[in-house]
Amino acid sequence: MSIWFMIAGAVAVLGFVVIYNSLVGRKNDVETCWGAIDAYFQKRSDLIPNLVSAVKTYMTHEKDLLEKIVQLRERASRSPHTPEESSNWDGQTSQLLKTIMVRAEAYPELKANQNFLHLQSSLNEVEEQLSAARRAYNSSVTSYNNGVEMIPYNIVAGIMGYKRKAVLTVSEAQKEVPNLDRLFGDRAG
Amino acid sequence: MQDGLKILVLLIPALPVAIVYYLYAKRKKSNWLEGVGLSLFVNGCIWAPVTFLGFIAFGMSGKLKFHDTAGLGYMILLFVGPLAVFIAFAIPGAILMWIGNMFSSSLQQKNLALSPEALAILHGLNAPPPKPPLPTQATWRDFARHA
Amino acid sequence: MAAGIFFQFAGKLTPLGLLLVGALALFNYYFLTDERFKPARYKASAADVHLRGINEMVGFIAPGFRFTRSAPQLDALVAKSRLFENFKKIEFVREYGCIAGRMGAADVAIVLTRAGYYREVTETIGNRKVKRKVEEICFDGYLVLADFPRKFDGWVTLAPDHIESRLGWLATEWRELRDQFAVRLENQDFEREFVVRASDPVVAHYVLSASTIEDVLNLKRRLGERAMMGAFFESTLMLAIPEAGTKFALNGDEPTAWLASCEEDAFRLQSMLRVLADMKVGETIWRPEERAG
Repeated sequence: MSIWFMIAGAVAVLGFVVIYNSLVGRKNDVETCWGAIDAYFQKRSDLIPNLVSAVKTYMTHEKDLLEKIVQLRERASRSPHTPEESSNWDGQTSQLLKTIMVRAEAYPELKANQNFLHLQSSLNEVEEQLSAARRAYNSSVTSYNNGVEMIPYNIVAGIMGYKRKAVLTVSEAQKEVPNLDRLFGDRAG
Repeated sequence: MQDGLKILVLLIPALPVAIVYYLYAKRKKSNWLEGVGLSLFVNGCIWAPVTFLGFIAFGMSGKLKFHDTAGLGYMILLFVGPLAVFIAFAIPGAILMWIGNMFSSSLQQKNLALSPEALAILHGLNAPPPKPPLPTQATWRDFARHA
Repeated sequence: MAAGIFFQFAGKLTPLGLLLVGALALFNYYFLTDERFKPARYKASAADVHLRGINEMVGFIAPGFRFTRSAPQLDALVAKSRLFENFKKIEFVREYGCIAGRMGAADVAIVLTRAGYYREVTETIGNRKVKRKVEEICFDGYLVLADFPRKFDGWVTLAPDHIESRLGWLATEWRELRDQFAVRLENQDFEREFVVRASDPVVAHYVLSASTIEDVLNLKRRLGERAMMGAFFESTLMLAIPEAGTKFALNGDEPTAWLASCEEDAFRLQSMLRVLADMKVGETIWRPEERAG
């Protein structure tokens, strides 16, 4: 009889170790993916001053737009941020950058500027990379949440104090249908 | 019965010719002259040694009324017989093939019904000038840029 | 008299004669129709016409592309791509044809390839046991190479997923425990068809965007759900599409057989090029001089 208890005990210990390692791995994956998003935020932030200096000579009527994006960048770089706060700033920055790109269509001299074109392609690339990093983050968070909530992983997760994490969602501003009049027409203000 | 067997035996040399003509020449839609000629020629090449072996078998079976199977008459029969078979089949076959070949290009085109575009491809009329071959160490990008 | 004896003797042999006639007829047919007995001049001109015909077809489907019987050597590239890493240990790659050209700014090559490994076989010759290596072909088909319109470091591979369809969630969990490179994507159809491995999950999501995933799935469906494999590395896409049987091969003297196989080859070529066009391989989001090679 005691041999069966020993075997059951060994299996339980082995199972605990496997589940523990799996949960730790998933938590680390979430942190790695968040690190990647942060790195791409930083990369995008670094491009913004170059963009502003490239366009401000031509887009003299868009001063308020350019000021808004610079302020947002400074605010984001100053304080540490949680994924939820970053998601909000990310949404606002993406929207502003899209608006600048759309308004730049009305300035032919700007569109012919090689520096601007290079910045535009770099920003597009960073946006694609950010989008991929967000998808990877959400995938790792889903895997982590599955571990925290599914049996038998939730038993070990409860012991370790792991809680469910939130996935990154699209902000309300980004969900809105874009107002084309505001995008193209609001140049005088 | 004997007459029937004789007729059947007479037909034996004709059968391979007919079979080969049907299987090859007619199926391939080639020139019928060439087809029959080729059948005759190939069968001449086959029947000549068969005749030779047949006469050897006769000699060994003792059915031939020769006094001596090692004699001159038997030797002549052994070589003249197959030669006669070869001449009877192969030479007419070769002549028919030669005649057929003279007409083959026009007959073949009629049979295959090639369109003008297909003929142009066949004769390389619209072919682009040939490009120099790539070196052996060429990468896949070299192949793509060389096309 | 000799003729009478001949016919008398031959009459007895009539059944044997008829058998002989049948055998001779078959021999004649084989001799006259088999490719191996055709003269070399005929074979060379037939091959030349065939090649020109294929190039006409390729030029019609993809202007600027060309078919050649020579092909680039791909063993080093296949090893670098990790394309067959989770499939079999590939020890040789043989290329026997290539359709190549440019699509916009991208180089594209579709290489007819056979790949496999060596298997040791022990034969008994007399009293001795002799070991020799036999080639085992485990992949026969097309290797599609193209510039991929995204710049990234690392690698991503796609392999057919035979296990998940049977074991479902359990298979995915087991794979994630065992394989540190396994990546899960959000498209369930894609997850069911392929196992995705990557040096970095972010790179995997960057390379396999929603549209790329749809394009790969569409190609798989168009070509009849075969076990495709893929690899993305150094901004290059490599797709392995198995296709057993003769591809762009001259089928003897049978024009109808060649035409039928030609149509299938044309359809497959069109499908592969369409998916590359959908992936927008000809467009880049970085400057052309930044591309390596």
